[in-house]
Amino acid sequence: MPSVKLTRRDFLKLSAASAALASAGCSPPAERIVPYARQPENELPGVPRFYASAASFVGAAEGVLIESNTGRPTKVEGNPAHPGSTGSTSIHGQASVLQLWDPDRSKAPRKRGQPATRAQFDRELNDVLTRIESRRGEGLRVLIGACDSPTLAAQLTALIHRLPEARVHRWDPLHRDRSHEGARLAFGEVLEPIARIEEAGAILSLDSRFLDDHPFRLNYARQFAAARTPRSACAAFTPSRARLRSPARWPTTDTACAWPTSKPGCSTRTKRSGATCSSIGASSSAASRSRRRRMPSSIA
Amino acid sequence: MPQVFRPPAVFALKLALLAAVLVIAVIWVTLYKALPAHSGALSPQQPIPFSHKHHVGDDGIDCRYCHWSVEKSSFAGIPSAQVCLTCHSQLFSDAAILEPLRESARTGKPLAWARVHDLPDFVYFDHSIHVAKGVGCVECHGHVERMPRIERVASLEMQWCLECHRREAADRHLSVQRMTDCSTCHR
Repeated sequence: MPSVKLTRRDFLKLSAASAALASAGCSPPAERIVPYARQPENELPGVPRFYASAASFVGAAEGVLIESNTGRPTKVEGNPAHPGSTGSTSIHGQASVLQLWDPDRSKAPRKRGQPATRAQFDRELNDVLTRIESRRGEGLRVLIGACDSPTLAAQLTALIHRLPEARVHRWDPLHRDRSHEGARLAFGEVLEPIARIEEAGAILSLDSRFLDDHPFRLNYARQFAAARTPRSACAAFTPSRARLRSPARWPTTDTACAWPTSKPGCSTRTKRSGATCSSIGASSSAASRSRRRRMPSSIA
Repeated sequence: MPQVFRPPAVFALKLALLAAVLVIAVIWVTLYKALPAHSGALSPQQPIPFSHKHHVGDDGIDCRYCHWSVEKSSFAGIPSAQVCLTCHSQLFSDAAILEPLRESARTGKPLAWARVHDLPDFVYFDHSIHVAKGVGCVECHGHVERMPRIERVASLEMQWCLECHRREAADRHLSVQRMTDCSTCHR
């Protein structure tokens, strides 16, 4: 075992050092106030500003109010004036604040894992764009999720107009294609049906989690809750009675009075059931759609 | 000569001496290092030796000229370099002491002032409500017009806050319960 030689002087030196460290550690941490170098107009430090915006979900807008503190978005809440929000946000809306500002996000472009400069990125992007433009957009593929922004749609149209060989691919794991297809069959055009949940005595929902991943879910949730509250003392308490079929447990299914389960993969089909029925979720991807034509007889 | 103390007693004495040294060290650190009066926290060095005595006492500039958000926000506001330069682009415009200020305005890199009045982060203090209810700046910040370098005169301890809240509640016939409720400051 190695022997540690510690002379009396060394011991005293170490003791003094540790005492000095301890005393330094005891003083309160020094805080700095960093004012603006150039004060922006109408900015009150300490008073948040709110911006009305919209968060896109399943191709539909969810009205939100974004709290901004000295230019930094810190919180996303629902916009009471928006019919799709009625003052509430979903879990996706709450989490979307990190899309606006995330301190953990990379602050500079990277090239093959190595930090690069913005100018370098611009130069390389320019090279690629020049190459694509010379081939009228051949080889350019834009991958995009469900989106109903007219601005983005106009920009994509302009892009295709300029580069006719380019292609835009839309895909979203949470899509409403079947619901839209049903609406097209029924009304001749793609429409989004809006249910008056509040007035329903009983709800039969076939594989539609209208409180969870429906574009109008926040409004539906508010209506659903309102329908379950006695409106006045004399009115009889008539709660909404939801009957749902879904292979998995969700808040929608948890609110249901009855929840007959079906095997995963036994999705319902819009055409035959006749009800507004959406097939949402990764399990109903286009690739596996053909396998799922069987329908439980209890639904029909 | 026989030994005065037996070995266990000698050991106990050594331990007692060591303990005494430790106790003295702890007291010394507490009194002369950790307490704000001696740690430099009451009047820290600033990036520019700004004198409130000169600006407030001699020149008579209103507090709100620089601390402009004190009536509207929880934060009183520290002036931007541009606000300082409204005067100092003309007065003392080439003083070496103001070089950090000119550099800040030139480069856009802000100055970092040392905070003198620092409340714990679990206290929600709002300047605007205190000013709106007629509490003068001097009540908490002291006579800054006599301070060449800004210093803290109030302890900023909870007892100090409550003393004033109790006194004002009694003087203005307000609800003591509301003025001293936990959630009034700890939200």
